Amino acid sequence: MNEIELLIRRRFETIGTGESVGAAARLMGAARAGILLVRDDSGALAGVVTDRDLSLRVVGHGRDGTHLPIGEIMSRPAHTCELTDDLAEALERMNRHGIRRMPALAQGKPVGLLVLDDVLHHVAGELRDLSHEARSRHDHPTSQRIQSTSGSPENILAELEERLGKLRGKLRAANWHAREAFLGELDEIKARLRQVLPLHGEDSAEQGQK
Amino acid sequence: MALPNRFLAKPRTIAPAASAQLAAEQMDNAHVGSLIVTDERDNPVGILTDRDIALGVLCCDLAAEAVTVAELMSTPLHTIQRDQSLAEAAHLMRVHGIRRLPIVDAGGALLGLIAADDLIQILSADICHLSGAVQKSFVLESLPLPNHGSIFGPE
Repeated sequence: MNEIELLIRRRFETIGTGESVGAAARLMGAARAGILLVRDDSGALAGVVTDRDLSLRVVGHGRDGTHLPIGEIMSRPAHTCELTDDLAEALERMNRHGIRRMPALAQGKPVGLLVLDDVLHHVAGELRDLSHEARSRHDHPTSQRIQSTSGSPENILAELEERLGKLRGKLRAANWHAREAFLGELDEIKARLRQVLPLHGEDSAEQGQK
Repeated sequence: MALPNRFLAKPRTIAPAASAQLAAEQMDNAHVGSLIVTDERDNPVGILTDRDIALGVLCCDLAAEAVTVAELMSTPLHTIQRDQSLAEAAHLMRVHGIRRLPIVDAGGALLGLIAADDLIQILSADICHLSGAVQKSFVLESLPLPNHGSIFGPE
């Protein structure tokens, strides 16, 4: 299972093109959703509509939403990704189009919603795992468990480097929105990386202190 | 370390008596997702988001010109002082479950706005610095702080 398939929300709300803006707003409120997938008469994805679309395109233009069909104000075509797409590429596409949520398709049908906040939450989790591992290695550099699962201490920083590099790539692709959980994790990883850096300095003091 | 100066641009504001329609127009024109609501003495009293407008007006099939900003805005307004840190901003956002924090002076006057989006950009830069530190075997203390300030504060 690739990352997009793991990260998407399987629960999302849909509405028909002919339903009213008022109905869409009520659905968003009841479902605590910020986006609805709009389906045409055949059930295919016709577009998307967000709470911001409703605000700017309807309220901002003084239009009466009581009978206004969603099909008239939705964004179309929707920017989508496939379940099999590379996550970094999907994030880059979201960034390019300035969107935070993207329907994920399988065989042309929407099966989930890729949400930037969820991606950041996931990245935060990876950072936390990384920081825990860094801490464990620092506290127990000769631990059999750590050695057996992760190799020699000399490989510690090479692994950290690789994993941080991957995280950095994701952050770069998705760096314009935050999730609060992410913030706490970074404080933690910073503290723990500071623990592991001197470890490396001891291993290669001459090189490290230049 | 105080909040970086680049966040001290005064954000878009609107009066409590203004209509929801005017608020939505202003958000559209300014390409923003929120407006700070200020009273007649220019003190910030609330915040209004595009979602507040969409749900507040359209859920009940109300007329946009008849609904006021005061009816839709969120209060009380959570703010941060300019001499507080980025870490405190992150903490306040987490505690209150919000993404935007108006920056005020000691008297409560509006000075700027910092958003969760801004924090993540700073954090991303910090991660790059940390990653670079690992790659180059530098000890962290030897690294210069990024000139935009850091979520982690002064070392």
